[in-house]
Amino acid sequence: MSVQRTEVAVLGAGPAGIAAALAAARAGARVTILDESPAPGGQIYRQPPDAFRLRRPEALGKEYARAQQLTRELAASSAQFLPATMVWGVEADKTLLLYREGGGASALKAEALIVATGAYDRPIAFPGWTLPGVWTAGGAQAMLKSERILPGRRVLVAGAGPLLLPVAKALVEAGATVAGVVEATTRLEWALHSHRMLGHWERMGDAVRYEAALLRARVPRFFGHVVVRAEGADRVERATIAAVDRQWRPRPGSERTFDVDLLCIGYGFLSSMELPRLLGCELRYHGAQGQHLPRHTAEMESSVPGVFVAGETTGIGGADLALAEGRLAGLAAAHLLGHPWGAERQQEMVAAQARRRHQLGFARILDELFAMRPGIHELAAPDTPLCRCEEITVAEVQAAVRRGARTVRAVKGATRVGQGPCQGRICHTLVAHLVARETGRPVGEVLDITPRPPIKPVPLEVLAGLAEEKAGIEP
Amino acid sequence: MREEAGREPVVERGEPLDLLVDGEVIRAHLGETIAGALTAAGRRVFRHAPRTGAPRGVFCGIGVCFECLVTVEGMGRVRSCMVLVRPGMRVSLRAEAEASGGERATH
Repeated sequence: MSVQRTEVAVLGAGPAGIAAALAAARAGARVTILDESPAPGGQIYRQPPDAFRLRRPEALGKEYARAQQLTRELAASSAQFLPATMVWGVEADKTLLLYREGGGASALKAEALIVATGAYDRPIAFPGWTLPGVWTAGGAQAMLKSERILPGRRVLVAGAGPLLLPVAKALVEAGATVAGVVEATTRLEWALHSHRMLGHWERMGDAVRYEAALLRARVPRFFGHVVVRAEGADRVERATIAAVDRQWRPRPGSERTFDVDLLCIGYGFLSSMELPRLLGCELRYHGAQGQHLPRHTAEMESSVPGVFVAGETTGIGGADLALAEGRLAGLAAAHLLGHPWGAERQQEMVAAQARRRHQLGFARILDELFAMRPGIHELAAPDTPLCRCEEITVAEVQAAVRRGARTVRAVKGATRVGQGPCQGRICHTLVAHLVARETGRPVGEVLDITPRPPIKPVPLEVLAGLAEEKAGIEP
Repeated sequence: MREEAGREPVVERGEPLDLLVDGEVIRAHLGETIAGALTAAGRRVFRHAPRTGAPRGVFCGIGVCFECLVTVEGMGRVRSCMVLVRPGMRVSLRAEAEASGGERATH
């Protein structure tokens, strides 16, 4: 296996990763940036593939224009981009173990790492959530944004948070009928937070545009409601919603059922924490976001020297915050490696820190308004799978707890929860909430997962090759 | 369904190509993922979960959940939402269990 060398390795080519790569490269560092996707951009700045030709780029909006600008800057920079490349392990000397689908294994030794691996839709389990046609809101948006493919014709969009509106708007524009946008929080709760959003004009303008588009398309809105189940033979055919109380527990007698062929679920996001965990970064539990996040300095350095974190890796905050953090991390990594540091760089750093503080203010408002409430973790029935990979149900997890398992790791040992190909990414918070409820312990304490490589499934021959090399055997 | 149906398209798709899915020809375009092409062709069930046989399909759409695994000749089991279609590509939704050379290590 070949070992390449670089100074700064940036993991993830979304807004944070690209901003980090550009800043570090500008500051004189040799930079390699990689992503699992075939093209840079990440989720927010997803673009149609190169093989497509744009007829009406104006229809793609300002996000597309920003994405284009960033990816063009990346292409013009000295940073090297590795597409379709997954990191499945990392060694203490910052050697990354890489695998490219269909292209084989390699290794990359870096002097500084910037983890900008983004986030994914927070999974919420309810009866029927594994049926084909139940998609995450982010997944539907991704397919619409890049491939321009519509995953359903009659759609319910449900969850909590600011993603529901753009997803519903994109579905309408692509020709779907949106039967409803179902939001767990209430209009009153939005109104009570609105004064704090003053000063964040751009974000408020976006919201107004989404609202107007949904009004024009006569999309019904349901506030204070959640999806309680999905049903269908081999794919989703019906989705049922119910009004909820302040703790998001369904009110009896308030159910209403819709015929749908696509149910999009979006309850905010979870940050991808596998690499920070694997690298040994110190984490703390963030209650409002309901997840562990890495501690870091004002320069975005984690508790592990030379390992920086940026973007959604530090907590959910959106693209503008990610851009500021990426720039900070890129500059700081270059500085750490001894690249020239003048007044200009210092100014750039100070400006990025100010932008970060401003965006962080908005993120905290969203955290509070859209934080999960207990009822949402009680929707799953005894026979609902929590671990989709290994098909482990609520009842099986409860049985493991009764037999003495008091943490996620203990349940994993007892039931195979989280041992499938997704490595617990989808189920770990769901299992944690159930274990916490059953044991009466805080979620942050029962969530004790420790990823081991390979953190993503790789062909056995890749591991075998590495083992032979370590043993000094030439393949 | 590709979004163009009956409206002015935002994009002109890549070159058309045939994807062979368990012997059936599915029309796809360069630039699409396997999951996208299958979705556009109306496919929703990509596999059946090994323990209960429950139908599964695309869930996260961004490579996290591994629900959309399919078998591609020469590549083994892949996340169909992360792999672009190629001319002559042969995909199987059935062969998941007996795929040769595609076994993946988890732990």
